[in-house]
Amino acid sequence: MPQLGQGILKGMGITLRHLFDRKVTRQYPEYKKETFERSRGMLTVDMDRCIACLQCMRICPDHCISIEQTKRDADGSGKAKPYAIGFVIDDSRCMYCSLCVEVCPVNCIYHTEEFEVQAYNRLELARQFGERPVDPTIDPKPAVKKKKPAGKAAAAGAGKGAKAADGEAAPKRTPRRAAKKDDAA
Amino acid sequence: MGTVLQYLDQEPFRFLLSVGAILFLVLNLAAVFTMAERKTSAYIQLRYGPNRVGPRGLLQPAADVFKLFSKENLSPSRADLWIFLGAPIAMFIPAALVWLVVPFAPNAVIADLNVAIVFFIAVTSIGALGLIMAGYGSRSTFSLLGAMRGAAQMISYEVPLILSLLGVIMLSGSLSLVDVVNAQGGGFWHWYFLPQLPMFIVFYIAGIAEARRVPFDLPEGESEIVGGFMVEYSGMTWGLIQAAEFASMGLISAITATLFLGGWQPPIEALDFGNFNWIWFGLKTALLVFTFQWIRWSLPRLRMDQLMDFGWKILVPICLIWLFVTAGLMLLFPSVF
Repeated sequence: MPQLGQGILKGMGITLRHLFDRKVTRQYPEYKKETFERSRGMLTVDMDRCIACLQCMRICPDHCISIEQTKRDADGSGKAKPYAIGFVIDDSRCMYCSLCVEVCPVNCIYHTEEFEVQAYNRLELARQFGERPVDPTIDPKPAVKKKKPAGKAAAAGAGKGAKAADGEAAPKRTPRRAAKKDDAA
Repeated sequence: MGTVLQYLDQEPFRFLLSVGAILFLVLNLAAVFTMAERKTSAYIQLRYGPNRVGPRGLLQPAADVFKLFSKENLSPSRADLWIFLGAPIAMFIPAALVWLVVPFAPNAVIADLNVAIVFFIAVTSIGALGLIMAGYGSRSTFSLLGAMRGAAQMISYEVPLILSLLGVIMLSGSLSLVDVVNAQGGGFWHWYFLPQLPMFIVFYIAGIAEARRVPFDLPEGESEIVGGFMVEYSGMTWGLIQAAEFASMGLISAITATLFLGGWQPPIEALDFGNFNWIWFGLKTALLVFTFQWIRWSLPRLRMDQLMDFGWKILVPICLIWLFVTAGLMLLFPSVF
């Protein structure tokens, strides 16, 4: 009985004090919090350093990187080396896992501090870095390790370009589906 | 000018003007109170609240109303349409109507009824009807649950609400709100909240329950029955229910200020502003409305059995005891009271 209502008064005292306390709201578009060191923002590529090794494209779990490769003597050494003529990162699929950053042998793909990714449609989210735009809707189909022929085809296709890889992979799938249909029938 | 005013003071025009003024007041009050509510809640929770629309967010209620008007008014296909659509009106009209008997300033009362307190009690209890209509007409489980809770709560809390008024009626010897205010003249020590302190607290608590506000918001029960009786409402019907709720919050505050805090009477006689005494009425009402919001954002909701226990086992006995104490004091010291 002596404590009747004390909890209510105590709680209301706290709320009354909070009325005049300093507010903790950070008014977002005007005041942005500084991102942390090693924070994973949007990806960007330094195309001058890229050696078109396609490792980022293969390791990406979401298949969000597509690279169109060609041979070119870019550094003036007299030898034609692999060169990424088209490079696209589809942010609508990227999950910021940072695997591509870890795997890159020349550290040319890295996170920026930019984290506000928004667009009116999905295609706008695909950011092009190369000289030639790459269609981001085509899945680059990284090598599947289980079956040798499929892996070879994908690797060879990647050498010719992402589009070619998809084109070669497509006919392989069709017979399998057809066989299943036959089984069902 | 004088002749026009005299002409407008005649009966049909006087009534129409008053009703127009009351509707204007109540509807705007609802908008202002939503803004106050959001700001108070934000400041209590260490936020800023709405501050984008207009200077310091002051045009937010206008934007809200605009949004509500533009929304589609949906109703469940199996709803009892007339009851469903009538419920918001049945809730809003009583909340707006009682403002007719509230004295704003020395001569500013629209209808000086000699039974104003009875009128207040009678008309506010119609609000429960609107609640049941909303719950029944929606034909939805949560709506009906909310309505049942609301009916039980509002009928239970009507008892302490009425009992706590008896002390004031005994002291002032009148049922007219104007007489009650006049009897409290001459400084704040003459206001009825001092001799009637338990009654004042009981009336305010019962008023919170009548206005269905936290901690007595079981009919709504946002976190358990997602809005209770107004689950099926959308657009402006929902807006009208909200307006009714905020209007009844303002109404309970205004009636409390009138009965216990001296209405428009200034706290000391030196601060008497004559016809501008509505400032005092407004300040007292605003303080009570703020307390409503302050309580709302501080306390958790009661359980149903706790609610009933509190109403019948604590509030009603307090009222009855203090009724006898008041009667005894009036008998022993007739010169003071």
